[in-house]
Amino acid sequence: MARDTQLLKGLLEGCILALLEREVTYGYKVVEKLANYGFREPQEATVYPIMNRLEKKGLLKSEKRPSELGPPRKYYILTDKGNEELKCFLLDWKEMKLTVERLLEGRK
Amino acid sequence: MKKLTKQTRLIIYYALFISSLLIFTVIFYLVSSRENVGNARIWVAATVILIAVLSVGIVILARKKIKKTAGLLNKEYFEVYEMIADSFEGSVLGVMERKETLNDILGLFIDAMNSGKTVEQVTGGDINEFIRRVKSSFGYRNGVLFGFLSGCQYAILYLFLIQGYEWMRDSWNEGFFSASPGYSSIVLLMPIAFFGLPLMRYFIMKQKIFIAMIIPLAIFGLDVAFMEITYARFMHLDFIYAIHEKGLSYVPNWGFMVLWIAVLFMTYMTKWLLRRASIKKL
Repeated sequence: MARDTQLLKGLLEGCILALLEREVTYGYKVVEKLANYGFREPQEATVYPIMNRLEKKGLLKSEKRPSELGPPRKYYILTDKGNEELKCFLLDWKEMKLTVERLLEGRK
Repeated sequence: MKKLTKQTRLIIYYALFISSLLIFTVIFYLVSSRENVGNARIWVAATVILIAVLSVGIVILARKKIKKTAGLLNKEYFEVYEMIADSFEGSVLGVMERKETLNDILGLFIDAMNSGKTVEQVTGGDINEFIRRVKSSFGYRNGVLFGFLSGCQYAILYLFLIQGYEWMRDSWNEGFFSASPGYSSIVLLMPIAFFGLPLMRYFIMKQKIFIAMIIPLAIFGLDVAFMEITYARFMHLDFIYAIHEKGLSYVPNWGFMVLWIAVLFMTYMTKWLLRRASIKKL
């Protein structure tokens, strides 16, 4: 099934905010967690620019922590603004989910 | 020590070629005008030769730095990382942004490599698209306007440089403001500032390093052709005559000096404001 990339990006933004509400973590771990939750191939190529954009918009902030390998890792933290955005996303998502479910039930 | 990648070899050979060309031209110029060679000209020539040699050194050091920074990556990942690093050199991102983003990407690559992923799985197989997405997440838009503003900045710097060169070469005793570089220098340098450099950036971003390297040579070649043809055929036209035989002081007094610096400052401010506006729209 062909995917609507824009819709997926919007959902990913909300899901990334939700993941970071639970714990402070770094980019690659976010990709792994999304995969563990069942997102098919959430490539770094998609996730990293989204996280960067969220940071530029002030929804996330970051801090560097040393890594065992390579340069210091950037850990992302949800900001108050990000928290507000997450609440809006959850409301929108619930509304959209109900709407789609109602529509699909009517299919029968 | 790992073998040099194709891209690194290409860039180093090009730097060597350009430097050799520059040194050869300067020596040829000194030899052909030996009767008029004064101390100032020798100093200018020595400075140009020194800059040419230093440029090659800087290119080699920069390539070594990329290799050292990304030394933990295997060949497959390193080649892609190198392409991304070069592409960022051609972007409008600031120095700190570039450094930070490349560190982030390096971290992602190291983690992905250690998890057994291929580089295609990480980048989605399309490196240009990956780079485009990362850049767009910084909110840089208005590429043409940014290119034009950068062109203005380079143009102003060139005006100061050629005026300084002319001052050292011919007007040392009369002072900086009295130096009058020929219009012909404008014919060469303005296309480089407004077309050559933006086009080079564009092709570097598109991973077409070879085309990017050809551009300054092409502009130089076109300039020589233009000057030769117009000299042979069109000297009867006033403006062609002026280009060949006349000049002007681009910084004739302190007022102009302040004006040029103010324009330079305004271009930086405009870029900064455009950036802020773009980030708000992300």
